[in-house]
Amino acid sequence: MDLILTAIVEMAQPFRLLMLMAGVFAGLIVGAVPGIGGLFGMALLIPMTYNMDAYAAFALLLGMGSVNTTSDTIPAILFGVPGSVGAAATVLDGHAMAKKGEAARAFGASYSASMIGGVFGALVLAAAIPIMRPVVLYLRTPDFFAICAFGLSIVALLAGSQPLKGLAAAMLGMLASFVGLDHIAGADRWTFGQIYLWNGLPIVVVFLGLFGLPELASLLMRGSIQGDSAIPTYSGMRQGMMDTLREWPLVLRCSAIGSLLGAVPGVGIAVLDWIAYGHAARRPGPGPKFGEGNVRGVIAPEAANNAKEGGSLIPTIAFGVPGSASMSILLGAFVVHGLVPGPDMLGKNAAVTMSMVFSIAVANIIGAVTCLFLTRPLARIARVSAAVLVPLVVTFIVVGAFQTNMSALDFVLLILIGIIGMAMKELNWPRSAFSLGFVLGPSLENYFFLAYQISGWSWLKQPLVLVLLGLSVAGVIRQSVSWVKTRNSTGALPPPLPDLIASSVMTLLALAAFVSAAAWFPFEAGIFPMITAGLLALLSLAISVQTALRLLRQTRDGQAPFAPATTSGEWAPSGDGAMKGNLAVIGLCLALAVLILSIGHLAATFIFVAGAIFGLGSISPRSPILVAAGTTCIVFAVFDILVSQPWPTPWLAKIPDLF
Amino acid sequence: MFATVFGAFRVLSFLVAGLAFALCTPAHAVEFKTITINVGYGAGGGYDQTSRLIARHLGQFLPGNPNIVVQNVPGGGSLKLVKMMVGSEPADGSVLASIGEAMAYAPILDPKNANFDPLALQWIGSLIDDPAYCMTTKSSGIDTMEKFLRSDFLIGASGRSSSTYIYPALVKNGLKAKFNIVTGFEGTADIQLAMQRGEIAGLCGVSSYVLTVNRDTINIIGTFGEGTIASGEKLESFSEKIKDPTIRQAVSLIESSLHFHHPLVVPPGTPGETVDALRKAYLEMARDPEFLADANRMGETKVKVTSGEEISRIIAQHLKSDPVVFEAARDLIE
Repeated sequence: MDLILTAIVEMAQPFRLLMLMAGVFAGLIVGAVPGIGGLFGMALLIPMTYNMDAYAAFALLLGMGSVNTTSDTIPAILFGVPGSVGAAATVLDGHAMAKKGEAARAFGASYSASMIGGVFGALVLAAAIPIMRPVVLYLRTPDFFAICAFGLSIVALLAGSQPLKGLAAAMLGMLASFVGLDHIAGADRWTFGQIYLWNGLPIVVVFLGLFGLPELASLLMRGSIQGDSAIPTYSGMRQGMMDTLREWPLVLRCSAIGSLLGAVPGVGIAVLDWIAYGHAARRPGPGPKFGEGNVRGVIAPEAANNAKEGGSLIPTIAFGVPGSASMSILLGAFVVHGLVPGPDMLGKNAAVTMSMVFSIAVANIIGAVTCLFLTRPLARIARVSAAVLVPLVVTFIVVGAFQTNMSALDFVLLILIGIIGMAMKELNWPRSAFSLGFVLGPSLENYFFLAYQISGWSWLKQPLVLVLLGLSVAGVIRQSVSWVKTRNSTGALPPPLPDLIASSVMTLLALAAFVSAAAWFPFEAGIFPMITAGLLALLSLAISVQTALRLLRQTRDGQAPFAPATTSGEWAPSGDGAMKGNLAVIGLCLALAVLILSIGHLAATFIFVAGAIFGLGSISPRSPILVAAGTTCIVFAVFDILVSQPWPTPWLAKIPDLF
Repeated sequence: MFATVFGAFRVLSFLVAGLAFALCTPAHAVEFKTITINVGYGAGGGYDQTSRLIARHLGQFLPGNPNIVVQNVPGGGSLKLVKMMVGSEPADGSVLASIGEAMAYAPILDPKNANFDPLALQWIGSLIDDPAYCMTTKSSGIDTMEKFLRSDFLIGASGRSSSTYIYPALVKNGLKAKFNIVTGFEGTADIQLAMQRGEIAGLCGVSSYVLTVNRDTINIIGTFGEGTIASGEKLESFSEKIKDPTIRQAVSLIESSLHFHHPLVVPPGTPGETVDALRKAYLEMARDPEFLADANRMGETKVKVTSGEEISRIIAQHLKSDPVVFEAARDLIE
């Protein structure tokens, strides 16, 4: 109790509170802008903390790190573009709600869930202080593997109305995650001689392409975020908050998932929000199906991803083992301020530890309240014309993707993944399953090999491993039984011909991956890719056969009408206009990419936004210029001042050097 | 009339000469504007932190007091950045790179991926000159060199190219030790946690900082490179136990990079005066009390500078070795 009082007294100093506020506001901006996450923000703030005392430094850093998972829902709900990798699961139901005119309700639910989750995470951290060392020491490498395997089994719940496609999508995601230098043998896997690919496909670019671009295409086709022109009800915000309160058991369970999994090294925020989402999907409750705008699908991941911050501090404080990537940066701050992670943090420096709990809790409250105030103006965006919104959002996606590596390959990858995402969206391959496979693949492989190298196969007998693997198998079996029961129900299916082409291409791709892994990778580096590619080949072959039979039946019985009206869950195809919208969005991305490379990101933003709004049919000739100027200022403020970094020299600027 | 024209001509020629002189002088006296330090690793790590430390201080020792910014270019343990430095970065002192010391011998140890001339890179200086150590947990019971080499136990390592793999591999292959190396840990802290859990028994290739933090729970077995630890115990060196002269030379090649941890380089073809100005500023910075105070705050960094000339000399000397030595070095870290 004394400890808590000491921490509060220490934190009550004006400068420390000011730093906390500064961190929160910086964190909100960083979270809301796609492409830059809290990780990057922390790295930039660290040097500023060198001359502060430890309390102020951690207030600034944790303020920043705690709330970007609150504001990253803004673009996720409005545009279907995850503001950071932890908001990908929120896209599914949050964006679906916005499309139905429930943006305000989604915001209300997500912020209140974020706040409760964040405070819960801080409390878990506080409660764990006396017991954290033994708890962290209890978990062994095989347990980490079992946790990841359990996480992957959630795929069964995300698989949607065509389960084979769900499983195949998960395998495809895992396969994509194996690109790059592997950890075990140091072999390069499918890097095609590109150093760019050595560190794997950058997750930021993958998620922006997979979720952002396809949603923009359908936004362009719809005309505005909200399909109909009804005025959005602001009372929805209160309704959303009530939803969160009504669903309190779910909020607490997901907060627990977030804070506990946050403490497991290697299980990042991108994993745990899917696990929370899958957990909620098990019991959808009243209201629409999951993926169609169920508020539980917003509450669950939002509670979990804010609770993570407190949890991931546990191993950091107790052992100096970062529970997440941003924690490894925080560790740098520990060293600067002469703090050694370990027993001292629970004894001599316990007041600093308590002040971290305080910072996380207060930051989450300030962050959520700030966002709630912004809900009214933000919900209005749902009615703004797509001709204005799409160029704006494309700008942030493309600039955000480019700043991950400052390489032209960022654009290539973004557009490629975007095309895959569009195809998956149209043809009912769930992108959620792909994401889960993608984020869990590396941890699964790595923990498996660590466990195997340390203790052969005997680790399979450990109690926690048995429980978790048992639960995973039981979950998958239960789900399969329900698939078998419902297999004859006639739901809507995508048009067979493109479906057949896509699944056949996938089969060939999987076979090529299998053969190349078998032929060129050393055994340790090849076994996981081979298993994954093998399963993917079998699954997509099965899908191909199924679809081919359907195509045959259809041609024999005459042309069956394609009815997209009754699609269910995550699957929301744009139907006939899809190709046009998709091509338009890809064209916009390409145009902006070329502009950025040739004239630099600021001039490119201005010309692109003005030109694109004009081209997409704006009413007045003046507004494109104003919007473009505004966007350029924001891009400058965020990417040149807030997270300042040297941008590569544009091509045009290089021309004088040639003479 | 003629006189005025002549006079005007004289004035003009003076002007031209003056202008030419004014244009030429900067070519002799090096002047720096903005400098970028590219870091071959991600934000927040050791290399990133030392680079940001240098960025805060180096500018004031350079003519023109340039502003220095840091940019992360992670990939392949800084090989990506080295390739950029060799290939595309401007060789005018405006771009520096903070790379892994292992890059000096990457063309020898990993010729398939690293095909560049390490001596073409111009080495500016390095911050740390520190031996590497092997340690085991007290609970493992492995407390002597003899037991270390003859017992069957596990050593933790991160990637194959990291020092936590290279140094134990050197012992395992060079001295036919019996332990096995478990690869795939995230980093040193992760390995130490697995040691505390009792999953693995030891860790090699770490700096003296790691030893001081955990002094009560570990045995220090021996060193790579010359050096003692703070308490002054004399430690056995692994390389001295190796009898075969070729293998010993190969070990000394690998160990020599311990003398230039956290080096800075500029691209091949950078003018001599620019390189000299940078090297001079680097040494001046390293003597500056303010810089040292700032460096001490970072804890892990015990500054012991090696000059750029010395780094080039060390590398050149080892690159002259017989190709059999290179072959042996490759086998050692296999």
